[in-house]
Amino acid sequence: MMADALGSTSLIRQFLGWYLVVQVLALVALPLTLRLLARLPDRGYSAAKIAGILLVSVVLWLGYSYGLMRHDTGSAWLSVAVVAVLSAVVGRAELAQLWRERRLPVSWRYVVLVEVLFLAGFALWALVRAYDPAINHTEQPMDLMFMNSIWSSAAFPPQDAWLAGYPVSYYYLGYWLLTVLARLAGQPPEIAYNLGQANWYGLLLIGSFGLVYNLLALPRSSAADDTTDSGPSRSAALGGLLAAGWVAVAGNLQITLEWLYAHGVKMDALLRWVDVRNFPENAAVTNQWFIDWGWWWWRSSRVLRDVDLTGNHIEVIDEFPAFSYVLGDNHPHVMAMPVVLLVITLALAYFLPRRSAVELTAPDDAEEHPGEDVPTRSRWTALLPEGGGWGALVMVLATGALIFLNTWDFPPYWLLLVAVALLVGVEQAALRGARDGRAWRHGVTDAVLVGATLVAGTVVIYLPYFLTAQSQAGGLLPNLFNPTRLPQFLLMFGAALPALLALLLLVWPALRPDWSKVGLTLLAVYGVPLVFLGLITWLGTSTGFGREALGRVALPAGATSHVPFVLARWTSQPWTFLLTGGLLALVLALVWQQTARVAAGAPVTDRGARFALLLAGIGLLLVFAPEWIYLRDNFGTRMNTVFKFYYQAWLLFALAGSYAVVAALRRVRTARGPAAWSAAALAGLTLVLVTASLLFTPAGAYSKTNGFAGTPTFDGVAYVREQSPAEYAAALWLRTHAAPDALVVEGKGASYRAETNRMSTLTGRPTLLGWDGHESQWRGRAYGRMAAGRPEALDLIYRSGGPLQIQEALARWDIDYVYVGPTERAQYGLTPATEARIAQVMDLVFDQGDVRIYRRRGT
Amino acid sequence: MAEAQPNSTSRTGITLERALYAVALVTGLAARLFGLGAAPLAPLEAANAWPAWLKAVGLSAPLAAEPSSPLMYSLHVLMFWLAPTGTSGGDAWARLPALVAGMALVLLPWFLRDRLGRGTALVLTFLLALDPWLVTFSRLADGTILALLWAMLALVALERTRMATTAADADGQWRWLQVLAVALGLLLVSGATAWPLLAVIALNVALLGSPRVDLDRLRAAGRPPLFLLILGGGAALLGSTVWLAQPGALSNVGASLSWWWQRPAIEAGPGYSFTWLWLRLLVDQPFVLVFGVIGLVMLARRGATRRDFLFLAAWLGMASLLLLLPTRDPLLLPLWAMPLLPAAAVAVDRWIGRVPAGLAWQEVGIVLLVSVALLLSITFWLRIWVAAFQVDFSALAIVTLLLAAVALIVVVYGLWAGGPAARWVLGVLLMLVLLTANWSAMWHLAHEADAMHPDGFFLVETHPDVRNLATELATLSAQRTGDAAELPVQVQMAASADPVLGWTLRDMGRVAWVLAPDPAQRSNGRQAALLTEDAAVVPDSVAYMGSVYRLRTTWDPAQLTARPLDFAGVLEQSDGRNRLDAQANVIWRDRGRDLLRWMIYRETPQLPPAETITLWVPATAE
Repeated sequence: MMADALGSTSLIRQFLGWYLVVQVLALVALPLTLRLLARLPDRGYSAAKIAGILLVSVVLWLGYSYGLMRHDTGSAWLSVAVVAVLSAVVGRAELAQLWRERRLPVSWRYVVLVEVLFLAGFALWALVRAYDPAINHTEQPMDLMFMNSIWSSAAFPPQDAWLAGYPVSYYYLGYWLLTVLARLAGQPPEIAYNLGQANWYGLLLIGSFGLVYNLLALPRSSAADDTTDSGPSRSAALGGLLAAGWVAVAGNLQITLEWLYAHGVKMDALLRWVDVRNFPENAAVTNQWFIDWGWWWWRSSRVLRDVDLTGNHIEVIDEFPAFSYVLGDNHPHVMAMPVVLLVITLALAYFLPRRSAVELTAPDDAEEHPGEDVPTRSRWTALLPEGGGWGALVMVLATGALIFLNTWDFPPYWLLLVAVALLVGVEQAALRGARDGRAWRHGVTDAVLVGATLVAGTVVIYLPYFLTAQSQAGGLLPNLFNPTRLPQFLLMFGAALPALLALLLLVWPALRPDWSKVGLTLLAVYGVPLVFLGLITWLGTSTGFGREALGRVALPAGATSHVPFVLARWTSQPWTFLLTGGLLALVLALVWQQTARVAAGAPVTDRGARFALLLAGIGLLLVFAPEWIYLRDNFGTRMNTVFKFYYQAWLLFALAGSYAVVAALRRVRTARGPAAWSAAALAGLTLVLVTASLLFTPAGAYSKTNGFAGTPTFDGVAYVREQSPAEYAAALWLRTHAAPDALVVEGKGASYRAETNRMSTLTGRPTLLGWDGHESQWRGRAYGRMAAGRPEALDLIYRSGGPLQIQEALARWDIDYVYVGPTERAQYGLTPATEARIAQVMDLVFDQGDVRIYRRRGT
Repeated sequence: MAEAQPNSTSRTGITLERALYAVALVTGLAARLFGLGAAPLAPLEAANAWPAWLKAVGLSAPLAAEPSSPLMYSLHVLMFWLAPTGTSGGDAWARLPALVAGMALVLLPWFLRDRLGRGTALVLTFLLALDPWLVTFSRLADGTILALLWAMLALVALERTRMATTAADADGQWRWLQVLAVALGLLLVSGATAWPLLAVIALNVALLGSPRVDLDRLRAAGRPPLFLLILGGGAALLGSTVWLAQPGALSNVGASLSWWWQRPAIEAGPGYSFTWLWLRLLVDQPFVLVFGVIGLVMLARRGATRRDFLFLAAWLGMASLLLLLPTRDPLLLPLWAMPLLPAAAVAVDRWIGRVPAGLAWQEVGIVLLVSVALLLSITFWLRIWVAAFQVDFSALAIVTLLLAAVALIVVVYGLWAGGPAARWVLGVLLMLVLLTANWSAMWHLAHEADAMHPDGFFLVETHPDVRNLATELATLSAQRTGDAAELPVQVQMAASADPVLGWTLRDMGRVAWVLAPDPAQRSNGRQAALLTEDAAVVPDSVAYMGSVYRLRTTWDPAQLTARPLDFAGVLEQSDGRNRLDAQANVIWRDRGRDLLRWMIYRETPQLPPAETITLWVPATAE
């Protein structure tokens, strides 16, 4: 396969093959999305592609996990057939309507818009990948290793090629999705890596577009809740395009600083104020539109910086989608994004009135049970999303997939669905005649039921994953010393803040929460963290356990207590905490007010704005939380918490912000007054900032691809063939001759070094020890026990053992092959004499250049 | 396909029609049953049978092949489990499920008599009974014939469901819906050939319409549509999981689709050539080629049968496309023949039924008798012609004259009895000749193909010599251990366990499989018996004695046309006058003679090359 991939196979054929597969999957899922998302203005058309990919992949994964299917092409197509049947059954009414009317229930202009956007994103990013295909830096080899591991594991669980004998212990669903598409499109993992990434870029664009389009196209009065399609609204479409650009093309405001600096603009005071690491020290005045040939774009993902008490830099990651794509990795947070958008779309559909709810509010029903609890069955029916049980199943499946895709993404979107369930529960109870306290109780009950169902359903559906997964998570830690510096926060989210303010201004006049609610939410939002941090500081100085824990944080020379540092840090830079907390409190007060009004019997109006408010609220929670708390992992810092939470906040702010920009500009045409004008001004400011940030992706891609120089290919390992043909040939040999689960010993790997563990990475054949730093992250404390004895075994085989000892090691670890390549020779100082020990007890089966593969005798 | 005829199912007792059906069945059964176990299992069959046998006796082997048909695997496991005590079931036993399926397929036209017309259905039954490819696949322990049976049964059930148009037909329609569900369920798990057949069923529904089933009426009558889903799903589940004993075997369904996707021919290299394809069509199916096309034209010309024509033509088109792709293989051949068989039956039925008025049967008898006698004498001269190493112009002239004589007789008869009568007789004569050729091909393919008369239907065939290997191992074992199965045998394989070898050695109780890239370096210890795939590799111990057995042959009739023509030597020795003759002789010697000899008699100038395996045994017993 690899040889074929590297041959003269046309790029266009590979691209079109993949594109065709995605379109088939979209077609297969379309009846289902038309049914489940029937209340959305676009009827779920923009969600069909990712829904098809996800459903087919999960069906195959379940079949694979329970031994009913293999990870092969036939089973993948069989899964397509299964989803097609299910989709046809669920969406039979929609199919019948399609058949009758010979047209989609969405306007063709919208369909063309979505398809053009997807094709443009997919094709343009495929072009970028074709000029930057090498899977050779940062954690890219890790991504490829996972894909090859899954690819070569015909039966569950997929093996971990960097820790022989153990299954993958990582949220690997994203890699699974890519390999399933690769099976369907007939492409090997090294090509799927690049085409899949381009495909995901297209999905990200249409997912963002579709969601904001739907928000903006929703009717603003409750009387018009029964949405009817009258063609795409131009402003809604523009809002959708803004969201797509903001989410997937724009960078943070660092790009504007980079560009200005590259063009010689003096702004020393500003740069000192924002204090971005290595900027402008490592930047240059180039007068180039794309800024520089180097990795200048990397700095955009490191605008936040923490400093320990001794003044040392602590790495904090603040990636955003466009950065991930320019970097070119296929990490879980990238893979999860289209599914996240699907979940948000499902949440939006759940937020809209459903047929079942409408039936429940029929006059006779309401008259029969004025103000009373309706029978349980009706309550359950009302609780189910559109599509009934099937709708609930898809909702659980998609939301639960987030745990398996990128575990960090599950809590915020679980919270979103629970919040929606609460609001919908209150609304339905009010429609049934319940008021105030009773309606709130209904809402809370519904929220609890939905939340519990999501968790329980996730556990049931993804049980095989939970049974094999391990985690490095070790609880929560307080952020005592590193509140985010406001300039750096503004550099990251500066474009979103005016849009969020505009959203508040848009909603405020209609809701006007009373000040008691505002005061209470402010008290809660500021009070809880401050009390928590105060308590932790007290515990850290007053108890033995606390002192021990805090003692691990090094103090500067001469200092004896941590408390002054806590106080100094928090009093000198509290502004991000105050800003994000204040905004969060206002959003919570507005949501509270809105729910209280609905509970009192008022109709729900402007659902789009209400939903955007929820998105903004969750986004604010995600940036507020790392100010005072973070997840304890192997790094011991808040690096990953900020990274993963900010990533989702970026998406949520961009979605809510795009909605707010268009809604504010719409409002100013119909309403006058300072609030409308202020919102419009803030929208204008957002537009300016976002537009300026759109340079990030074209400039970054141009720079990363070296100006689109070189021979284009989608093959991510073509560079190995060029730079190390013998190693490439060895990998080919192993793919052809070694059993998929054969243990191939290589030298011990080193994180971020693509030249180590080449065989396991390129073939998926497990080796004794891969990137142990990463393995340790994935497996937590259990890793030490799992890896015990392996470094010694490698040392014995490559360096110190005699033939008999080598033989024993081969038997002890059940090793099939020993690989000797340039890395092994350098790492263990192998000489012909020492290599002869291996040859004495093993058969030489591959020999080219300085690369040899030995096979254990008697296997 | 025919005008409505009186409902034939109302009659009871023995009728001429039923007797003819019985004749067709007995003939078909005889053609399938005769010498069922004569040839050792082919690689394709062994790949299905061996894993099933291992499962039935609770053994496993490293890198054993995956069965290509989940249903055949389930049937095989059951068959081997039920095999008489003390035996592991022979080759014929492994082929029995295919034979039963093949016979069931022959019966199907019975259920379509009202739709096809009774004559056409009967003719179709005979054609199905003696079709060369169907007979071959009915004697092959592979899932192809199962897939064909379930697909054809599904088509029959669809047709019967469509035919039920009134409330009175509700019971019948429900029965056929159940049959349809079961057939589709079993088709899904029948193996690789099922996948294109699903497309055929989809074509049928698209072109002939889906059955009009009143779901509300069904529900009201206590017949929930969900039951059909359960029935079909249950059949698929049972058929693919060894009757629920091995749930994991369900994964073989997906694997069969993968297998279809990446058929072995793709990985094995050039695979089946285009020459192989047209030779197969010409040699095996001359009757179907001619009368199938005539039948299609007949169907197309009538408005009432135009949709039938469309369906059969679309099916034929799809199958032809698959055959034209470089991934062609023999499993596709029955898919291609199936739409032509009913068309041919239509042609035959209509031709025979279109007897000209006032035909004098004695005259027809004489004309046919004389013509057949002349045609028989042609075969004698053909034999002489193809036996000669140089072009035998005199034999060729006689053959041509005899053919001209047959034509002359028909022409004279036409002048005597009129054009319609002559055309009818000519048609019958052509039918007889082509049917004879077809059935002769069936006989060659199913019963005479051996190492001396290679057919080349499958490129790779198992050599009968492997049976000698099994026998001699058993004898050795009995001599050295006192038990025919107790001798330890080590098989050194290059990449994966050879299913033919696995099947052949299944009665040996102590077989070990090891990978052997370089057996010379391997320290084998003192194995009682050692099998190596490369005869040149001698075990390191001089105390071993070796014996070579032929394992499989690889042969393709296309090779007969591949030899380059060598004119140089001949032309140098010829003067100008004889140059043309010399060239003709070279063409004849290097191409025509060998090809014709194979096409008519399946004789080849030399034996096909065989892969061998070497049995090494210690010179003395330990």
